Amino acid sequence: MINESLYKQLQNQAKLDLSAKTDKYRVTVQLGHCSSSLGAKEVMQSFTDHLTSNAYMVVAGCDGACFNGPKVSVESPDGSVVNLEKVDASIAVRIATLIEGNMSPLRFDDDANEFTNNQTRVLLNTCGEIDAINLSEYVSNKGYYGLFNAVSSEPDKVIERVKSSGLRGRGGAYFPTALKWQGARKAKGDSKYIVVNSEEGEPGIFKDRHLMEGVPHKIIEGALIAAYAVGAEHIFFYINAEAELSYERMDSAVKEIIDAGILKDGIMGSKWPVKIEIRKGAGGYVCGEETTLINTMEGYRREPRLRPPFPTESGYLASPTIINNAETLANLPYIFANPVSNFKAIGTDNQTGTKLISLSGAVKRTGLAEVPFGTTLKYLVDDIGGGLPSSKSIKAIGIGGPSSGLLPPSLIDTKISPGNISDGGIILGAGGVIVLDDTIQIVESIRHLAAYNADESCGKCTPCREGTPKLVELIDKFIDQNATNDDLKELQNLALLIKDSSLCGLGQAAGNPVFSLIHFFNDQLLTKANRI
Amino acid sequence: MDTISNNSQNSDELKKALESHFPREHNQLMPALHYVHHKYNYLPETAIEAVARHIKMPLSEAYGAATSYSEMRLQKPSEHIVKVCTGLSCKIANSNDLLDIALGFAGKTDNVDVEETPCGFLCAVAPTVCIDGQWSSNLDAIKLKKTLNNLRPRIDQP
Repeated sequence: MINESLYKQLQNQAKLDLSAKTDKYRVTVQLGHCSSSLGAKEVMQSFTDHLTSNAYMVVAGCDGACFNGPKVSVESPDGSVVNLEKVDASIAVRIATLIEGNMSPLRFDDDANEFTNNQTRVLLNTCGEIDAINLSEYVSNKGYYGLFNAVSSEPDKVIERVKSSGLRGRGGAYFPTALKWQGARKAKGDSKYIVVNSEEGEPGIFKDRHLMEGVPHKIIEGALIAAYAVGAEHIFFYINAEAELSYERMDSAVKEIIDAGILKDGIMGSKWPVKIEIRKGAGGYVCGEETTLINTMEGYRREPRLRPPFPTESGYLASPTIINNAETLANLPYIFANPVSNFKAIGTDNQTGTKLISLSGAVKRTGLAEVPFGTTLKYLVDDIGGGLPSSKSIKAIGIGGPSSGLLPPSLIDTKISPGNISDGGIILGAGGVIVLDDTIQIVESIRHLAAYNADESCGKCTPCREGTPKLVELIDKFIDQNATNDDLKELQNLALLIKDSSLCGLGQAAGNPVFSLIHFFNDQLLTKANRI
Repeated sequence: MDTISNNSQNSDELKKALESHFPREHNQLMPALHYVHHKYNYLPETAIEAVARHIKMPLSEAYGAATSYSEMRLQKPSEHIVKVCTGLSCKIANSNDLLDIALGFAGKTDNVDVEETPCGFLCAVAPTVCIDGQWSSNLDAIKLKKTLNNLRPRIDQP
């Protein structure tokens, strides 16, 4: 029987903490990796120096509207909220002066609202609004209620609920989460591990960083639900070494739940003990591949391992190990705090929930967007991204990073879905979308992706190690207008060979940029080849 | 940043630090290497040796692992490190121009290293450059030149 009083205690503490401040102005500064590169630290310092005793400052993560950062919101004691975009240190001083005179600033830009209002924000709903590392703020927004519900039932029932939600892994492989959990629950082993994969080394993707910086407790809550369901005593948060702010916030949030006693008597009083540790990656696209990640954690070279055995049977230290992406786990608090039917109502029949899309390139509004599966690229580009400046048009849309390829604008009605989203080797991957305008050279852009794959090949499998640089050489022949018909054939055959004979998912996808080039942009390729 | 030499006082210090922070287990290799990397801003050979000895693994294995990770630096870096992102989103936002500026600046000094990075994960606010750990986004040539000039090159000063 679980300890109900612990959760009530958390709620009471949250009420107490928040009620103490209701008569003051609340100034929320969004400080994340993106906004700090735009001056958010200076904005924060400005408020620290100038806010008077009738106001307090909250440091949140970013809400995803990176194009408008740094963002600040001011909530008056009467509850009205004003959002301010592109704030700098001197604007912050002016805002502080207004607040000192008990006045709210006026809004100057509505653009960010359209960006966020056109989304379906399940994971990001409080991101950018609540104090990133304040347990009370998280709890007062239904935080840890899902965990409380989960540990109130048997682990098998927890897995059953995840199964009925239809949740799939969001790292790129879209494997059914419940199936993975079931495997690890049934597997024999003295210790079991949950590894939260936040390596996020794929160029063009910045979703896990936003979650870790803005709502670290969501990921932690999800990981605790997973540990309880699978019967794991250890949780590792594996974080990209360069994501320093993410590390800092996750570390602080873990300390908070320990201090609050959430793990004292087992997970949320369930008597199921768990230890949490944070590990850093050390660079490289392949480190996010699950068997490579285990190698890194065990102190070996960054290379994938053969599967089977799958990590669910024999993973970290040969024990059953669940490796889940941070975004996957961040869905669990919602699934367990609401009727499952709510989650299933988002997306399509067999692709439930939302996907975080890292949107960049030529659109007017760039940043992190959350949309249901089944959303079209057109919606992402026009309704969320605000389209392109009027003088420009789309030449291609890059989807899924270097493991995928470029899609022509004629296919803009393609819907985002797990796995393959169209022919020509286009996969959704971890959800990167880069819009390329008509000034961009297609063949050169594909070369860029292919060169990245060549650089990042770990070297274990010969076809990938030797083949990926050769792909770049062949593309160069086209760029130099030196290619023959044989080169075109070799380009295709080599990409196929690498796909068919590489060990890990990265090698298997390394030919995709070339497939998309040949499939969709053959004319561009041929105009480059004067000898064909 | 600490410095390291081959003298025994230094290596004793590192040995003690490793003993107090890391159990002698194979899975402690990366945490220990991170510790060393953070301390010296690169992995000095003597420090890799100390880590290998502490964890009781062959030096060749520790060295092999260390060299396989792209964020582990094996050479002592210059005083300033300028990382220019050349990922696709930055590239289409003319990051090549920024790279040229950074390389040109470094060529006139003896204390700046320029590195290309495949992604700074700031694609939505491209292009972006990191100078001594601080990223700056939505950069243009003028802003970059101004920031670089603040690094005060040792040689070629007016």
